[in-house]
Amino acid sequence: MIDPASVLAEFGVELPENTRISVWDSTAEVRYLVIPMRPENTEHLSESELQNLINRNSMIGTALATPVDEATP
Amino acid sequence: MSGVHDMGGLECYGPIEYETDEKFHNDWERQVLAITLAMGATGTWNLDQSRFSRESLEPSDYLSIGYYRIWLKALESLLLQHELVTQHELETGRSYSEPKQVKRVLKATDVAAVLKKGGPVSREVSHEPRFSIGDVVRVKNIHTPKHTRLPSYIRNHVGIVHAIHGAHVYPDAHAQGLGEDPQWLYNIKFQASELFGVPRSQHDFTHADCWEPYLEIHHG
Repeated sequence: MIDPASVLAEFGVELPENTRISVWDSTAEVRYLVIPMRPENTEHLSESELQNLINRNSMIGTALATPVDEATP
Repeated sequence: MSGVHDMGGLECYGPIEYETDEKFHNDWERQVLAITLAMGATGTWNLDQSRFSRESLEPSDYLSIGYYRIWLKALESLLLQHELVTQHELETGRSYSEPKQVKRVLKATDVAAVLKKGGPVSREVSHEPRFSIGDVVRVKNIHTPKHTRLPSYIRNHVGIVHAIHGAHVYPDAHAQGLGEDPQWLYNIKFQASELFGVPRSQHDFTHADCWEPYLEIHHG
């Protein structure tokens, strides 16, 4: 993928200019599990509250987890 | 095979049409998935042969008919090759010949268990891996008319062995019916600038999984 930052932008993900981007091309039968980056101010949250912050796209690397103040309970 | 399915590193297809969570757009697609899995389970061909069948479609079809029509056309082609159906039967939607015996039949009651079990392709081999983590390797400049999982955008490029996944069924041999021929599988880390030129950030990388026969030590 020549321009991953632009592809992510097509998914609505705008990353800061200095973000390091690693593309993992699944060329064999090995599959990779994406662990979304933990949003700020989530240290006090329970497991089910944290689950609220993730979605399909954040688990495949095309979205960030939802920030706490934008989450719907 | 160098073909239109090998899209890595191309930019000509425009932006991604982003969808939320649709698995099927039409009900017939569910049937195509079911028939494809059921016929795959008969053991008449293997996963890599079915991939090669999809890659062997007309390029204009491959790029235009959609995911499950690709599956259906490739399945029809395999059924014809293995004489499990005739062209006439496909065209008329009726069976005119005695059903042929297949190796295995996946019963509806077993589908959930079989899918849950999956089809692991990792294998034990007696020889050691040729490369170690950290080795600088070059992807060989291999061009084959047969099936391969070596994407063209990494051919002839230099990367570092990032991980060793163990030995896996080697698709290039498996797709030709030459047996599983397990080979060591490596995760190779490439600098984005090595693959796609400058200006690319020195901090951006692309990883791809490569079987041992795709690789050679780079003497740089």
